[in-house]
Amino acid sequence: MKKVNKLCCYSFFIIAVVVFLVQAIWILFDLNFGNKTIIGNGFICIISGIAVLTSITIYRKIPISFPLEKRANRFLLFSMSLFFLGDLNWLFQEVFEKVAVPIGGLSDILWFGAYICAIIAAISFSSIAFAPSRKRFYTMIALGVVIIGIIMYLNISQDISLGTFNFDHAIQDVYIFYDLILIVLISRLFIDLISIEKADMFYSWMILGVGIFTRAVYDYLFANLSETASYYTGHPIDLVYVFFYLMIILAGSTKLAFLRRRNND
Amino acid sequence: MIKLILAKPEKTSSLFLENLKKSKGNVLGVLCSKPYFSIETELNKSCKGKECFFIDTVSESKGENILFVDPSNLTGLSIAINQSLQSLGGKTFIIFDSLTNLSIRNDPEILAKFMMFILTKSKDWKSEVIVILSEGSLNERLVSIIKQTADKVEIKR
Repeated sequence: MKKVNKLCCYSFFIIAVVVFLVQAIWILFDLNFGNKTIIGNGFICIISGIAVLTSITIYRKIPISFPLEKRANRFLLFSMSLFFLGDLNWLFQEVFEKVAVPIGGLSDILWFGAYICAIIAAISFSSIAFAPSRKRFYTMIALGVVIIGIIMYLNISQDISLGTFNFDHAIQDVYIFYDLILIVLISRLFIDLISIEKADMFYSWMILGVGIFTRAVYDYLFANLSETASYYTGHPIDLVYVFFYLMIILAGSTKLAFLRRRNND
Repeated sequence: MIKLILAKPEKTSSLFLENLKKSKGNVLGVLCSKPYFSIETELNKSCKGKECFFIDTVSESKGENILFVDPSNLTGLSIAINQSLQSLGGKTFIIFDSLTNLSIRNDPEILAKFMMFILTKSKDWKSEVIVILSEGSLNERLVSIIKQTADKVEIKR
């Protein structure tokens, strides 16, 4: 019975892994069956849709007596929904309108909204934890601002020196900026949780952190690829993109298993 | 409800077990004076008929319902309390056997802030909190903050 319950908690993740593996085989072995645009975007939309379903399930399962965590999960749900809608719009434009999705278009607007919701979620997750002193908090924020500033400066100054700085590049840089903010916010929790030896109750938080890190890697790679106009749907970096959703789904499933444990014991 | 029990140092351990036994709900015990393994049998006896989870801040005990948190990591401890309560569910009691180990490893001002944080959050969590303190062992300001927040103060002679 316990195994069945555990399997139920991880059912979304299992489905997502199967889709991910099929996508990986399709991309890595360059299997050119079907319409590349439909299939490439289809995989992404299916997995981001599963991420939305997982977020809904988790949001419903968090008890109301934990308002901050409920709030954090509400914004995570908003974020996942906006990411999904952005992906869906990308698919719609490429498949039905048969146009190259413009940078700064509807998908980018939806994804920017998704990032803002993710940042609010990360702030809410942070406020669950006790902050020993404002000094430490402000030091971390200051350090974060300096790191973000240096990375953004290097990134933008490189574009300017190459004479490639334009609207499209600025949009890509905004994503990297959002990613860095998320990493700074989440790393505060990481530092305190990593020192706790038996951390099964914290696994979902850790996995969520890995997911955010993966997204940052993807955004960086995508920015570089789009600068050279070498990105296409079905490119191997799509796997990194989908891996981000996979981590969100795994984090949700782990949390679900943790919350359900009390009913099985 | 927040209850503060002030007792002689030699009585705190038995008071902790007594309150653990009396609690009509699931219990989250925060161990700050005696490690889990040294009172495991007594704890298991007191936990009959209810679900208990312990956070040990004294030593690295192993077990299914035990988690070790470094006493100087108050952020980790606050998250551990939050998450443990979620896993317990239902009506929950948070019982601190003392604040000894936390007061040794942390600045009294920070510990006072931490206790305020936990006591305030316990209202959201709809948990009852019982803090057992041995008389004279803690910073006066810390004790007075807990006293002010507590709904009930018991002095056991």
